[in-house]
Amino acid sequence: MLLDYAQAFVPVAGLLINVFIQVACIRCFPRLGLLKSVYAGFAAGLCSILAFYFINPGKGLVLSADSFGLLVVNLLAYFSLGYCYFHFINLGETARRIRILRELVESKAGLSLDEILERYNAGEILERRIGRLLSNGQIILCDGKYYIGKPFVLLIAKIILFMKWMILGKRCVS
Amino acid sequence: MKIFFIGLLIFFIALGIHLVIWRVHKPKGQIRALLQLFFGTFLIYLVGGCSGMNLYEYIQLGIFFTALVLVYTVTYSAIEVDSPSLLIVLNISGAGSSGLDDRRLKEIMTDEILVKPRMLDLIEDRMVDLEGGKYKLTAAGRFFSGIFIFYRSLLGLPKGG
Repeated sequence: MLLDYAQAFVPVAGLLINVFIQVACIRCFPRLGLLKSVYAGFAAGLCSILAFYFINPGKGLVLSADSFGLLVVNLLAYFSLGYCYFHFINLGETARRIRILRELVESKAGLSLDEILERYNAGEILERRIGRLLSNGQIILCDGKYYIGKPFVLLIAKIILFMKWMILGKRCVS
Repeated sequence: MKIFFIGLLIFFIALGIHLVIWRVHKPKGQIRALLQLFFGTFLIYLVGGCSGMNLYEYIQLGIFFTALVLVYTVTYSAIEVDSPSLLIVLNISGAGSSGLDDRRLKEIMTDEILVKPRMLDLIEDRMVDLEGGKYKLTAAGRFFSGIFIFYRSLLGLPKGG
């Protein structure tokens, strides 16, 4: 009975392990970089979930028919939570609204729009993103012009465009 | 597999309702409305459903469904607001074999496109107030930004953006 309740929380436990390992990786091995620490955390959480289902002390590898269904549900739930955690980290890394809020935190008297733009503006936004896209090979710089390199981010952009049309009825971006 | 199928069924019912409503009238505070819609549908199932599940199965269903809703909500945020990185690659792709230079990118991606709409979002989400020409954090804005400030310092990382 207790094991049944424990199984329900397996994805959450996997997420906690994911978070712990990811934070430990980035703190102990900063040269690894944020993305690889996220992968490491995700892999650790996944391994812990698989271990929970496949390792039964004293009986070797055991996976019953009932457990298979629960494994599918828990893996899907874990993948979903892992995806959300990735986006949470990504928000801190790239979200404009978060950055603007942080600028306002540092200014007790508040900031005018011009003051905000002095601290954070389109120039910085572009510079950071172009730097990232160039370092990941998603775009390349040739003779002073940018071209598409690896098409992964472009593919994501087109999927988002399609979803925007499907859900919001918008055919274009701003 | 019962939990898998029930969870997906409730999710897709709520998704269908969401698509219909959004085409007729997109609500203000879209993320809040999305969460209310999805969890409202789930609650209706819990109250009206008669699947004869045990308590731990309900807990598992709740966790599974919540995970699916969070995935959709997070992905929806990316659809609702145009990501600068995606805008950059779309514009570069659109330029084709001619390529796109810095000057042209800066003409396209201005403060009007990248920053000012986000200020309006923050006001609409009640994270920020505009008083006497100055933007100030609300309590919600302070709390929300506090989460990210704490987490970034936990990761040992500087300001993002």
